Amino acid sequence: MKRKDSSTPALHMGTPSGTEPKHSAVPAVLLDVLLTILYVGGLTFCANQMYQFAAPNLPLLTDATLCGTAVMLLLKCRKMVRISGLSLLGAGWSILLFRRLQPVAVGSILAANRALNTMSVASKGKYDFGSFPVSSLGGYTRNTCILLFLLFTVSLFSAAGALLIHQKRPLLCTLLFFIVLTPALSMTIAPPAVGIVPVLAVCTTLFALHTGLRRKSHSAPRGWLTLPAALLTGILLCNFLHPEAYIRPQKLETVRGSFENAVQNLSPRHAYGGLANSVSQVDMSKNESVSFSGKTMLRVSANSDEAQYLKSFTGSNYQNSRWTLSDGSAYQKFLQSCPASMKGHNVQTLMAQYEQLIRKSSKLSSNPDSTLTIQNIAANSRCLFLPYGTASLPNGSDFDRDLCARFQSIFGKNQYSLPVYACTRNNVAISSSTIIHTGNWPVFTPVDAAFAAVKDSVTLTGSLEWMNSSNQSPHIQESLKLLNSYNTYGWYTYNSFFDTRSHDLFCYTDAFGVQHYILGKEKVDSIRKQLKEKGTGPFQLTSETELDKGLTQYYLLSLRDLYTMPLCPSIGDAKSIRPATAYPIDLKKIDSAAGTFFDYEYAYRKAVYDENTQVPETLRPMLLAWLRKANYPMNAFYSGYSSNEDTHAGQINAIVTLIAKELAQSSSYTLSPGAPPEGTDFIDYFLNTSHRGYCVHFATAETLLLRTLGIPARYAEGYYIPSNKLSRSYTDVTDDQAHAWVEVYAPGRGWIPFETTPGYSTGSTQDNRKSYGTPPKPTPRAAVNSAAPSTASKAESSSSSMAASSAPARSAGTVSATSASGTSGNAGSDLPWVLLLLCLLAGVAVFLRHTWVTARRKRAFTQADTKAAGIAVYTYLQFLTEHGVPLEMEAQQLCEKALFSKYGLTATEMKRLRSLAADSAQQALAGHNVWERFLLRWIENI
Amino acid sequence: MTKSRILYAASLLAAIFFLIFYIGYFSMFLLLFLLCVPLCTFFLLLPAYRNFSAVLAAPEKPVCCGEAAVFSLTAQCRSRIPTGTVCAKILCRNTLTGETFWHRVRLSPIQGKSALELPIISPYCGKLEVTVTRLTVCDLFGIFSLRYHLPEIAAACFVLPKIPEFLIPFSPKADMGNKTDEYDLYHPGNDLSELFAVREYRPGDSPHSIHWKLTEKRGILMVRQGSLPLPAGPDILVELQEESSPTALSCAAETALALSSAMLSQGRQHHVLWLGGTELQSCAVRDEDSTVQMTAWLLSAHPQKQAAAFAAYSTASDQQLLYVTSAVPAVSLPEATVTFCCAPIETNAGSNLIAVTPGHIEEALQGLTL
Repeated sequence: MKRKDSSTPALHMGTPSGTEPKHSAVPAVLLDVLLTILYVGGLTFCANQMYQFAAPNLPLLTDATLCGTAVMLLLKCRKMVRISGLSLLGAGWSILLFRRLQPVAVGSILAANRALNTMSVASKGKYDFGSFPVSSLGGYTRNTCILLFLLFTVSLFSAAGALLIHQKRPLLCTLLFFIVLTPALSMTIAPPAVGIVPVLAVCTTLFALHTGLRRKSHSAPRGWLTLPAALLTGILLCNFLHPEAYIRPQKLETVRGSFENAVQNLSPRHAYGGLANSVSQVDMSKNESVSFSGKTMLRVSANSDEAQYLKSFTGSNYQNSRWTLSDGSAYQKFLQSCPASMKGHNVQTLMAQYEQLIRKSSKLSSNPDSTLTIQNIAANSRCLFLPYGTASLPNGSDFDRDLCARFQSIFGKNQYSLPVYACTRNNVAISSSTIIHTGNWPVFTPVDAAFAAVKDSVTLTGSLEWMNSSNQSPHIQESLKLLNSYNTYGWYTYNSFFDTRSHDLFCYTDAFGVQHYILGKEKVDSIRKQLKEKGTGPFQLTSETELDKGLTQYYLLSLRDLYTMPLCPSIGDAKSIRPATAYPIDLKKIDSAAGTFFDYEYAYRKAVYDENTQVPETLRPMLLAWLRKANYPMNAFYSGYSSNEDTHAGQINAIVTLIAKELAQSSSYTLSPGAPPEGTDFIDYFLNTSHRGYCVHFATAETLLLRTLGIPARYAEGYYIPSNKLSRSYTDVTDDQAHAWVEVYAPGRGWIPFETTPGYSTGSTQDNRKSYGTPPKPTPRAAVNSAAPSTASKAESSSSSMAASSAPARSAGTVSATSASGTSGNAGSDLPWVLLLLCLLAGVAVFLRHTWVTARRKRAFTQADTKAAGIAVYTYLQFLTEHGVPLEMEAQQLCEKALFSKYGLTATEMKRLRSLAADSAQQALAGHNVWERFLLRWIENI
Repeated sequence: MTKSRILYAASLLAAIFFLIFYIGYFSMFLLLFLLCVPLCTFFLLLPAYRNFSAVLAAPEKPVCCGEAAVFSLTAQCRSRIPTGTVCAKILCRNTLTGETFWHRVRLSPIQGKSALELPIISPYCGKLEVTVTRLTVCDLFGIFSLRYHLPEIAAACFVLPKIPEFLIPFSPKADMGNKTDEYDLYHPGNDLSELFAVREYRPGDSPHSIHWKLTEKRGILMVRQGSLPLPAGPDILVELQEESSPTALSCAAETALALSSAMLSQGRQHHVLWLGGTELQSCAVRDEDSTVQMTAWLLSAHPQKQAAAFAAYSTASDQQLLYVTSAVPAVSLPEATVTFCCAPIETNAGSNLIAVTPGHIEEALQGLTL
C-alpha cells in the first residue's frame, strides 16, 4: 500500500451533480390535488363515522375537497399569488367563523359530547367520560351546530393536509391521521374501510415520493404509480379479509397477556412475578412447582380477628390451562338493567351493603366493623388486595367491573386502608334485637332477606295461607309471602346432571312430626305399590292415606332456577312451587332500601350466571365423569342434608364442602406437582393422573366442578391471613402466604370465598373449612419441611394431623426468589422481552440522536451568518482530523477568511467550503469496512 | 436506502405491536397493508429493471493534475414505469500511482434518461480508470433492490502533468556520440549517404561533391549537399517502484516527460523506457505524435518491484542513461548515468544524482548539462 502523503490530498471525487429529466408540472399538480382530496376526505369520513357525530357526509366531504384543492392550487402558484390567495382564504374563513361563532362553539361542545359518549359506550362500561354541559341555541338545532363546527374544523384540517402534502411530509401526515383517530382507536372503534384505505394509500404514496434524492424534487410518475397500487392493495385486502369475518387469533391474546404481565411485573415495587401478583391472566400450563423465600410482600394491620382473604385476581374464563379475566359483556348487560339508584354501587361491596341493611333494620350500628391497613412492600403495585366485606375503596383506585380493584396509577400506592364488615358473624334472629354470631359464613338463601324486611310490627303466626291474606296491607302481604318462601327454599335440592329422574321431591314426616325423610318420586311410587300389595311399608306405614298425610311434595329447583328466578313464595298447598305460576315478592313494599338492594343483586345474579358457570366443552365430560366417580348419590346427599342441618349454611355450602372433601381425599398437597405433559390440560392432569397439587390446583378443580354442577364459581388469587396472625399492629405477610381459593356466588351476598386446599384453616368456624384429614397416599414434598401448623383452628384440635404433612412451609435452604409456576410470567421468561425492548429503545435513541445531530449540523452549515457557518465547518473539519482526515489548505484558508474577514465568505466560497467538508467526510469513511462505516456514521455521526 | 429500510422495519414492528395490543380488525389490516404494498411495488419494478441500461463516459480531453476529470454516468430506463433510486458503486484507480478509492452514488428515480456527473480530482498524473462495479436498482420505497448485471461499465482518462519548458545544454562530446539513422530535415551536413539538397557551387565545396550531370545540363557548377544525421539522445529509463509514494511516482513520470520534452524541443531523438508487465517497454520519441503516444503509455504504466526496470535494461548500450527513479536508487549504476531521484534522499546528491522535489522539477533540472 502506498505511503500516504499527508501534505497532498489524495485521489478523490467531488460532489456529483445530476441532471434530471424535466417533467411537466401539470401531472405533479394533479397528483398533489388528488392526494389532498383523498387524504382529507378519507380522514373526515373516518372521524365522522368513528366518533358518530351523525353529521351528513356529503357537505363535509365537499368542504374538505374544495378547501383542500383551493389551498393546494394556491401553494403551487408563485409566491405573491400564493401569499395573497392564502391570506384571502384565511380572512374569509375567519370572517365566516366570527359571524357564526356561537353556533360553532356550541357545536364544538356537542360534538365533543357525542365523541365522549361514543367512546364511553365502546368501552363497555369500563370508562365513563361524562359530558360537558351545554345549552341549546335559538335558531339552530343541535345537528346544525355540530355540522357548522365540523365544517370549520374540516376546512382547517384540509388546509393543514394540503400543506403537508405539498411539502411531502409523510411522517407528519401519518401523525396527523393517528392524532385525530387515536382516541377512537383506543376504545377499539374500528375505522371504516371506505375512509381508511384512501388515507393509507396517500401516506404510502408520500413515503414513496419522499425517497428521492432531494425532498422537493419529486417525480409525478412515481406517485401516479404508487397511489393506484396502494389503493388496489387496500381494496383487495378488504375483499379478501372481510372485517366481519375476521377472528382474532388466540395466540395474539396469549402474547398480549404475556406482555401485560411482563410490563406489570416491571413495576419498581414488584419483587417477582408469581402467585397472587397477576393482573390479567394466570397460566398454569407450565406449572411445575412453586417455591417461597419468606420475603415479606405486605404488611397488614387490622382491628379484627376474622381471617382475611386479600384478593388480587379473579379468573372468570378458563381455557387451555389458563384463567383470564372476564370480557365484561355480562357485567355491561347488568349495568344497563340495574336500578338507577344503585348506579354508584359496585357488586363487589354486596356483602357490606347487605350488612348495612340488616344492621339498620335491627337498629344496630351500620358502621364497618374494622379497618384493614395494608402496606405494599414487594407485591405488584398495580394490585389492590381487596378483602371480602369491603365497604369502599381508597382514593386513586377503582373497581374493575365485578372482578377486582386496581389502582389508577401504574405505581400504585404504598399504603391504603379499607373499611371492612365482618361477614362471617352476622345472623339476626327474628326474635332478637341483637346479632347472634353463629360463626357461619353467610351462604345466603333468598329467604334471608326476611331479616331485612320483617318489622317488629308484624306478628306472623298461624296459617301461612297468603291467599287468605289478600285483604291485608301490601306490607303484610309481601311479608307473608316472604315467610312462606322460607320453608320452600329450605328444602330445595339440585337437579343432578346424572340423575334423570323426576324433578319432584317428597318429604315424609312421621306421625310425631320429628323425623323427616327425603324421598324421590320413584321411592314414593314403590312405597305406594308396596302398601297396595302388602298393606305394609316403611316408616311403619299401613296405608296410602297415612303416607299422603305425612307426605309433602316439593318442586326440585335446579340450581339455575335457584339463581335466576326471582324471590317467590309457594302457592296452592303452600308446599310446592311452580315457577311458571310463581308470584314474585315485591320487597320494596316491605322495605324500600332492601327491595332496591335485592333488585340490584338479582339483576346481577341473572346477568352473570351463564358466564360463571361455563366450563370448556372439552373438559365437561371429564368433569362429569369425575363427579360420577366421586359418587354423589342422591340419597347419601339427602341424608346428609336433614332437618338437623343448619339451614343457614344452605345447600351451596354443603355441595362445596363435599366436593372439597372429595378432592382432599383423592389428591395430595405438594408444592412440586410437576408440569402436565404437552397437550394435556392442567386440571385434567391433576384430577385424573397426578393427583398432586397445591392451592392453585385445588381451587381450579373446585371451581370447574362447581360450574359443572351449575353453581356460579370463580377462581381467586391473593394473600391469605389466618385470624391468629392478625393484630392491631402490623403483621408481615410473606410470599408463602400467597394463596388461591374458589369464590362461590351466594344470592344476596355476592361472591364468597371458600377454602378448598387441604390443611388450611381460617381460625374461625366454618363448615367448609374443616380439616380433610391426611391424604391417602404419602407423597414426597420437596419444599415442605416444617410441621408447624399455619393456624390454630377452633374446630380442629388435632393440628398436627391436619398440618403435619400438608401445610405449606418455607423451603429449606432455598432462597429462590422466583416462582416457577409461570402463572403470571416470572422474571426469567420476561427477560427476552425486556432485552428486546431495551435493544429497540437503544436503536431508536441512536437513530434520533443521529437525526438530530445531522440536522443541527446542516442548519449550522447553511445559516445566513457566514462567520458562524465557517466556524461550524471548521469545527467539523477539526473533528474529522481525529479520524485521519487532514485539514486541507484551501479549507483552512476559507475558514480563516470566514473568521477574520470583514465581509465574510461569498456564497460560492461557502458552497466550496461545504463541499470540502463533505469530501472530507467521505474520506473519513473510505477505507473502512461496513461495520466501521456503520459505527462512524451512526455513533460518531460523521 | 438503509434509512428507508430502517424506517420500514420500525413501522412493521410498530404494526406488530399494534396488532398484539389492538384487538380490532384494523390492526391486522394495517399489518397486511404494510406487508403487501412494498411487495406490490417490487413486482412493478421488474419491467423497469428489464429495460434499464447505464453507460459511463470519460471526459473528452485529458486533464491536468488537480483539475477535475468529469466522468458522466448516464442511466436510461426505456420502460413507462419509473424505477426507484439507482445506486452505483464506483471504483476509481490511478494506474500510475496505484491510488484507489470507492464511492457510492445515487441517481434519482429514473424514467427516461438521467445523467450524473462525477468529478474526479487527482493531484497526480497518471491514468484514471473508473469502473462501475455494482449497479443496483431500488423499488419506489427504497426497500427492495435488484442488482443489475451488465458488462463492465468503465471509462478512462489521462491526467497530464504540467511540463515545464527548459533547455538542456548538451556538451560537444554528446554531439560526437552515436548518431541515429535519421537525418535532420532542416540543417545540412556532410553525410553524403543521404542528400539534403543539390545547389550551386560555393567556394570551399569539395570537388567530390560536384554533380557533373546536372552541371552539364545547367551549364553552371552544381554540387550535392549531404545531410546531417541526427545525434542519438540519451535513454530515459523510468523506474516506478511499488514502495514509492504517489507523489514520488507522479514526480518520476513528470520528470521523465519533462526531460523528454526538453530533448525533443532541441531536436534530440531519444528513447523512453519503462517496465510494462515483465518486459521493458521502449518508445522512440521523434516527434509530437510519438511524444503523445509515449506519454499515454508511460502514464498507463504500473509500478513494479524494486528496480525491476533497471534490471531489465541492458547496460551495454552506448547511449547515456538518464535514470529517473521514484525511490532512492539502491543499485549500482554506470558512471555516466545521471540519476534523477524523486524520493527524499538524505545523502548529498552528487553530480550524477539529482534530487527532484515534487512540484519543483524545473528548479531541479536547471543547470543540467548532458
